[in-house]
Amino acid sequence: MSEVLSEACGLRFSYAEGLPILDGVDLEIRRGEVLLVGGESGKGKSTLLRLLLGLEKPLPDMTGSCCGQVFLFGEDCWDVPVSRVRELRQRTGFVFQGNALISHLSVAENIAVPLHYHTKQTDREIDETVHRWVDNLLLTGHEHKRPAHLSLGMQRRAAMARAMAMNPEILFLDEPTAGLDVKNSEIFLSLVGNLRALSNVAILMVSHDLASARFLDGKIQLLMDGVLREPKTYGDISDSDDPRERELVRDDDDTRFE
Amino acid sequence: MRSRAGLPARILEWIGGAWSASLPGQAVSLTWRVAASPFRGRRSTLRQILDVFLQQTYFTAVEPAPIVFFLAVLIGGVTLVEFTTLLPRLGTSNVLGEVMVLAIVRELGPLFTAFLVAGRSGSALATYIGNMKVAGEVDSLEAMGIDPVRFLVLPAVLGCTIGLTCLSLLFTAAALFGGFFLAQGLVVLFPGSLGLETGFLEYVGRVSSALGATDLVLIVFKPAVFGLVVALLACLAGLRLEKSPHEVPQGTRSAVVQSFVSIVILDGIFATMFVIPGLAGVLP
Repeated sequence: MSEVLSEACGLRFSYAEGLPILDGVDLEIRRGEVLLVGGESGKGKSTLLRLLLGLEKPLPDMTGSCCGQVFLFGEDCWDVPVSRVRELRQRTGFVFQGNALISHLSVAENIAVPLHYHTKQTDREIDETVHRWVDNLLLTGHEHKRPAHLSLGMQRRAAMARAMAMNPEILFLDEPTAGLDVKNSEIFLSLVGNLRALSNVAILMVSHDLASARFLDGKIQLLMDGVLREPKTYGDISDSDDPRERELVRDDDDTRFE
Repeated sequence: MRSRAGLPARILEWIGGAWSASLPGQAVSLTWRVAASPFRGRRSTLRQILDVFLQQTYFTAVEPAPIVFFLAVLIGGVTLVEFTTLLPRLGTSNVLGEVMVLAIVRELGPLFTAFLVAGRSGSALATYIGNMKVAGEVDSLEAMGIDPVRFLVLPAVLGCTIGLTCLSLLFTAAALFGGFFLAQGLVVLFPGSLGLETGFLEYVGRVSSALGATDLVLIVFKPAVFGLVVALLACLAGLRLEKSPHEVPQGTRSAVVQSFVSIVILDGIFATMFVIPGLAGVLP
């Protein structure tokens, strides 16, 4: 069995004094896998992704006890120094729902940021890497524009190029098709599929758009009532006995990507 | 029922948590992170840091230089006219150099430029970092394994500190010497109403002889500390924001007010430490 890249054990999380939105989540993703975490909006999918990368940390509960564990490449994210977590994150890519490109930098400069920061590549090598990803993500001609001057679809692809620039072993995608029309969703997902075929990168995607998993040939785990359900296929969910699961598929336009 | 044996530990934990959540606690923590950040990360990133540093220095020191020069000459001229009118009446004309050094070098130069930079660069910096925080750009740096303090805060703090120091030096020089020529012009316009009968070289000599070792240290150290505090408070105000855009102007306002208050308190501390003890030997 291939190596586990990211793992959560008994993860519990709540915002301030509210009810827990994650109440004992267990999850693991292995090298080369594609996993989509689906569920209703506002139920903690994006928070789960942030927790897995150590961007959020649950506060200890009233008894001071731990709120589960998160492992990245086998190391406990909350038990190693921040500097070590940052080293581990260099082996990951993250595409935020809002894209989160650095607004005062151009697309090319955004893609170059992690390369300048983490690698010993020369300026020329960095330029080559940047242009390769600009081409791969269909951004040629737009590389000198700032994010605000791009369409949402282009911004999403620029964020993807930046996430892929360091050749990550695992890619975290937060609602990658949110706000995109069918055509742009299709373009984006087909690019992700191509990149996956080339690099064997593992993909952990959270989305309410369950059809994305079918497009990328991945499995789906639904986050409901604070816990993750067993992995299923898109067909299993659409034929499920649980009306809440079927409702998630009905929300989807299941004629897409066919 | 909880064990009483853990009570002291719980109290310490609570105090630690309250300190970490407070503004002074976060400011101290950020200062430490900024101080440590040059020694973390790859040296090749220093070029990116240098770019941001140069931008910040330009924005802090070069862009406002003309208006600072103009205001410094006006303030210096008015101050000189007032002292040259007042001091002869008190029979203390001989301390003109000392009072000009006291007023311009020790107080007005660092204070005026610090207020200007707090209002201009501090607010811009708080808005810039606040917008990045709200838009998730700071998180995106973290997600790429980049320390936002090293990437954003360190160059901004260095730029603001050095920029404010340079601006204060410019203000001091322009107020002391440019102000002299303005005062001379006023003497020509209103003859007999002012007591400025000193030539430029004599004035320079009196100011130079009044400058002590403490002044030479303070002329750099005081604005540098003000610049450091302004930049740290601005960055902290930006980094403390959560996810709502309406927090950005609130954060900016807090940064400016906190900077003004901190500058006045620090000025009081500097005065207590350096200026007041030295006055006894200067003024009659």
